Amino acid sequence: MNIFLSLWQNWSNYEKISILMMFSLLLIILLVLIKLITNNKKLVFFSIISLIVSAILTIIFIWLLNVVFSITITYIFLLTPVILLFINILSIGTSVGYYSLHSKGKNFSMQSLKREYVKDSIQFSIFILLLFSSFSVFLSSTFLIFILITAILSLIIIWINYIILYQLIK
Amino acid sequence: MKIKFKFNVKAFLNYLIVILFSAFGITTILVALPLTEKISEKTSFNLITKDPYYWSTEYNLKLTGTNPKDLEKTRDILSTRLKKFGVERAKIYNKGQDDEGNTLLRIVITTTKDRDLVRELISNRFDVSIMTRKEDVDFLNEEDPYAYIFADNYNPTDWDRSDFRNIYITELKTSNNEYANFAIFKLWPNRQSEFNTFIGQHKGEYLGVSIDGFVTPYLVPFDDTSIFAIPVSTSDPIQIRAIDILYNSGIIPVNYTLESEDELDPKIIEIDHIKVSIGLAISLILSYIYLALIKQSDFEILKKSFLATVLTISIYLTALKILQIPIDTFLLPIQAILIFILIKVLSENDDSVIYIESGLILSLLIIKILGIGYIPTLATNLIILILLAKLCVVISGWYIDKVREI
Repeated sequence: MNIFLSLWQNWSNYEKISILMMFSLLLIILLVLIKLITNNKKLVFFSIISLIVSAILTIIFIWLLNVVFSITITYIFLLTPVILLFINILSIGTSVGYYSLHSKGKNFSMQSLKREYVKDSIQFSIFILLLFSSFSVFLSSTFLIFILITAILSLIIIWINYIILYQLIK
Repeated sequence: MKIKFKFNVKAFLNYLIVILFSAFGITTILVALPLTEKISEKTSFNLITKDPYYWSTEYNLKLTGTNPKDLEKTRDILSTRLKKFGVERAKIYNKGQDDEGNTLLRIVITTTKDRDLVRELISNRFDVSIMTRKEDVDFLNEEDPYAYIFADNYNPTDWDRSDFRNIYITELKTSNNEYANFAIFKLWPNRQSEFNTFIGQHKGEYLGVSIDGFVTPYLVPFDDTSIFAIPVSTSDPIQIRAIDILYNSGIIPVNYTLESEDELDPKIIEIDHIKVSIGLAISLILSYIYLALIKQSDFEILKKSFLATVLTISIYLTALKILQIPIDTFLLPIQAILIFILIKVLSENDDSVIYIESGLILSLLIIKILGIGYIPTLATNLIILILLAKLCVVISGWYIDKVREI
């Protein structure tokens, strides 16, 4: 955990408070929005777990990169959480949108939401995989590692979201 | 013989709009493509990258005393100053203490911002206090014309920066009926009456506002004493921004000196934007061809999504090129990939558009305000791109319908 400790110690209080406030506010505001739009406890719970898991996964991956693969973590890796949040909002947003529009319909069931989520996730994954893999051919060194890690994490998060949704909606 | 001439105005206008729109689209794509800057010698279509403007310097500060609270506060204020000024990368390390009981700080800056102003933001404590003139000093002595500048020639008062909630820099009319910049000192409401009494006692006299020991004289007027303002000796907006930051980023509790500064090699990720642009174009085309072949998506949606993506990126790059806005090359591919994905998701999920867009823009606004390093820059660029993408998705749908009608 030396990498995180040294990062933390080298930040001023101003930077620490800014970053903590940023992530706390993002979590609160996104959850309040989802609650207001869907009024569904399961979807709010799904979003909480999804956002927290993506944060934990990012930390673990960066730690693994540094400790196991001895890759220097440069300033560019600070962008990974923002990119993953972007992907996560897209992933959660599609299910929230589907639920809010169809939940009052006669044929709606949470199973149909699950089916819709799988369909979206497959398309999403194919597109991310194609885009990142074909683009990676043109990159090298740190930026290539950054792009690959971000792509892998994005795909993992999309499918972890599916697992969470699958467990919550049985 | 009568010639009947049928003229369908609606169809003609449709043709005209489609032709104009096509011309606009093709022009933006041409300007946005890499190396098309060579098509015209009259207009510059170069993409200005920030890479050659980066510089890096290490500053070593010596702070009086070893109080950890003072040290943390100083680090916070220096961080705030540098962030407000838009310095891309700033790290402040605590180097411990020296033998004389001083604390040492090492600040490493990597930025494209004005070198001199960044140095000013780091090296000045900006200790502001109000002073009165010493009676035994002759301020009119021709042999010592700079007597009014030095704080030693003044008596301290109880008034300093902590008594003012804000120092606001704005243009005011001078006695010559010209406009100049002034720093207006705005008091905390509970200090107002006490300050009025203080000012009232010095009507018609010169006071001094000391900043780090250098004094700007202030003649207290006889009549209107409601505004306490001192002149700012520049009209350059960037310098004024720096002075505003120095005044309003907090009060550094200890004295310090800039001991040394050493130039460093700016370690930035440089990317060949031409190679990357080609890479992005190929990956986008390949992805869409594959999606069309495997029939995972509706072909109409794919067409709309592809056109919207090409338009969004082309308009964005064209604007950057024509307006000569410098950009960090390593952020370009990240932004492009995220917008490719966003447009694809928005085109596939009509029911979620409003939720996704509002969630993203709200989140990016928070990130822009509270983020550090390159995070706010990425957030700002993404907000612009999301709004542009929204417009392009609508326009693409409309354009495809119009072409089909024709």
